[in-house]
Amino acid sequence: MTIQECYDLMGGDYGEVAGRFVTEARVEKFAKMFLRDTSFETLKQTMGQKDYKEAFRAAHTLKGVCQNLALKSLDGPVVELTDILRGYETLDVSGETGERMESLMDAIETQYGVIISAIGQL
Amino acid sequence: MSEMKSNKPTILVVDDSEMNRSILADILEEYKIMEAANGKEAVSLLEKYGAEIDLVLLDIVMPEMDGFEVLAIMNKYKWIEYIPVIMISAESVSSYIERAYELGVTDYINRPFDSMVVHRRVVNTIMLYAKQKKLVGMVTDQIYEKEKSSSLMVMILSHIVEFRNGESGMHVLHIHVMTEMLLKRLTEKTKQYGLTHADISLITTASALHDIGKINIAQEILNKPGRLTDEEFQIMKTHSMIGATMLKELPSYQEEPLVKVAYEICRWHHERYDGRGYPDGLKGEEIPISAQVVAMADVYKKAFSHEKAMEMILNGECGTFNPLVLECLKDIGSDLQEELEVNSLYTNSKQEMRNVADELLRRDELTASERTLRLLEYERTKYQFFADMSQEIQFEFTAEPSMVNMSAWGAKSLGIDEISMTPFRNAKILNQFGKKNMLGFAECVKKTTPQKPVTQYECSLPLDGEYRWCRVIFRSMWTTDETETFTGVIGKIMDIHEERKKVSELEHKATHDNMTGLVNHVHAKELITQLLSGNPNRKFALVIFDLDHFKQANDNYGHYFGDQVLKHVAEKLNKSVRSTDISARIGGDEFLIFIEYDNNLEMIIDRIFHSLTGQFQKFKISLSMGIAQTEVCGRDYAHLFCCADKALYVVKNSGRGRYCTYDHSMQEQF
Repeated sequence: MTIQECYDLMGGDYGEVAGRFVTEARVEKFAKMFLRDTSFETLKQTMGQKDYKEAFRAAHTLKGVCQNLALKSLDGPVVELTDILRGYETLDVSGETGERMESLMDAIETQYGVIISAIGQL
Repeated sequence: MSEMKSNKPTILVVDDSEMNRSILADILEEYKIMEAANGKEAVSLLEKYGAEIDLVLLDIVMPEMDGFEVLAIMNKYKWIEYIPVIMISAESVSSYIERAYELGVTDYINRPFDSMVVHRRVVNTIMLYAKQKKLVGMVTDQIYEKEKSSSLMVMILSHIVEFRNGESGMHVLHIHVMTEMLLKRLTEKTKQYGLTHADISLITTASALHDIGKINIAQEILNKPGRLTDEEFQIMKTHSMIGATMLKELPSYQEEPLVKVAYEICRWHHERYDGRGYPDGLKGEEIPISAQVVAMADVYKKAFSHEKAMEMILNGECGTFNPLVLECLKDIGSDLQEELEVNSLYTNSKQEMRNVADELLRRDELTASERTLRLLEYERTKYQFFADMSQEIQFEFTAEPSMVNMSAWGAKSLGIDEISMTPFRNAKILNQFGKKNMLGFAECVKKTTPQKPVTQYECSLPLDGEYRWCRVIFRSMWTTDETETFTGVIGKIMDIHEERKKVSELEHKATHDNMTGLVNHVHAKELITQLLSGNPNRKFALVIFDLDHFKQANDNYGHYFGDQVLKHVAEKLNKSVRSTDISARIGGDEFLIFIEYDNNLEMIIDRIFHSLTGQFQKFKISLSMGIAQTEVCGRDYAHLFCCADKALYVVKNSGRGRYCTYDHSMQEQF
């Protein structure tokens, strides 16, 4: 599979990332690095522990990574979750916010799976 | 470290995502990249490598210490002034960006970034700062050179004049010292002249040129013995204007501050505050302060004593002066005399060097030249090399910022980080070293002084997971200036476990009986004497016993068996006395017990006696035992021993196999 096909498969914007990183080889190299990035695991773990301060950091890092690689499908929910978690000091997870966070985490996990398997086929 | 020597500029990439760091490293492949995964690591690398880092790429949101905190520290220690920072963040909130710029970042790049943009901005920033670094180095060296050469020229010139004047070089030196002291005092008294350190230094240097105009005065007039005629005096008076004109007509250097000040001094150092001086008859504050001060210094005549010269000036015999400057003269009076004497001992060049050095020190924006940094780098490499080679645990503690740096080997062995901020509040360090030891270290170091900086502390520390006795050696570090401020500590930790074990083994051997493991007689005596003198109100009993017919055990069953019997008795004895009591082997089959009692001595003795008697294999153990109480025999060891021995003798003479307590009836026994 070419890197371009991979991007189509995982809902990323190949045009954008190629524009920024110039060569196809470099885009592919960076995309493969995504497999080594641990911020998703950290996010999932800290969310489970309700440690929202650390979860914010992890989400923030993941956001940076998504934007670097133009992983549009993952970027959306991660950005929204990051913005919610930014208020970790006064976060009230009992009502709607909590539900929203849960559905965002589900979306992130699903998308993450799609991306991992797509890059895995490179 | 050897990599550090390469000519590639070094970029420190600070980002908690390894992937982001890798991407940046890839884009900036022509540079040497250092990586830090959080702010704390970044600060320690900055501390370690300083100006060798040419650029920092900094993320904002990170664990441990975030990007803003890193910037705050870089500001506090002024690193930000020579190490440029480019912030890279996914934060597009404008308050973040503003704050970053306020904290001195050079550039702010938004994520997701374009590799070309990052590359270009990095190249530009590094080029810009490289130029600036070079310039700072050049300026430092040039200022030094310039100061040196201009002062030297001034010295030569003024000496030519003095030589023609037939005066000693001392006059110039005196004027120099006095001008400086007067000006310093003046700035303490008033701000009205707006004199800076640099101004004072300049006027002081230029003061030497006050009489250069005399070079144009005929030798006959200049050195005429006795009084000048009115005509001659008119000619003499022209020297101030001549000097000023000479300076004015210099082909270049008209903008040089030194030339401007020298002009003022030459032209107006014979003006009077009341307007009756020459050449222009300036009055009061029309006369520049430089000329006013040098004029006073000029009339402080070397021919008279300090007191006389002071008196003449203050009485107005040498002209009219600014009352404020006269006050300054009064204020510095005695210091002046001292300073002039001291300065006569210095050679001129030394004086000059001192001024140049002072001046350079005052320019705090030029803190360290490239040359100094290179020297530091050399020392650091050397230290690192020896530290790595020696496999010793070495460490370095800096007070500001509060941080401990451990050699790699030591950190691993002790199970702590190589770099730890605020060690006295660091959980890992407190856990491994123990709070008590940390306080001990601090106490120990607090007692050091710049004169006696080395100290040591012994404690048990976990090395590779096993607690071992260690000796920690500290050397406190101090600034070399007058304030002698404490800056930190260097030191090493040595494993002295084996050494200590050997010493305590030897100690044990010297004080215990080899075969039974009981205390030996000599040591028992020491311990007992201590107990007796240390507890004058407590009651003790000294007991001696031996084994009845022990010789038969040896004779019938061999010495090995005899030894077994003795060991058996010693074991039983150990079990039947309290740990605070003393049980010892005196020698052969003779033993000693020393016990404390209250009113129950009889009971204790009876219990011990019966627990020791009995059967050991083929041998029936029977004892003869003599007891001496402090209540009866006093508190002298030798006497107690003697009494117990007498009681034992009584037992032996009456058929053995029992115990007996000394009483005065036995006194007559021998």
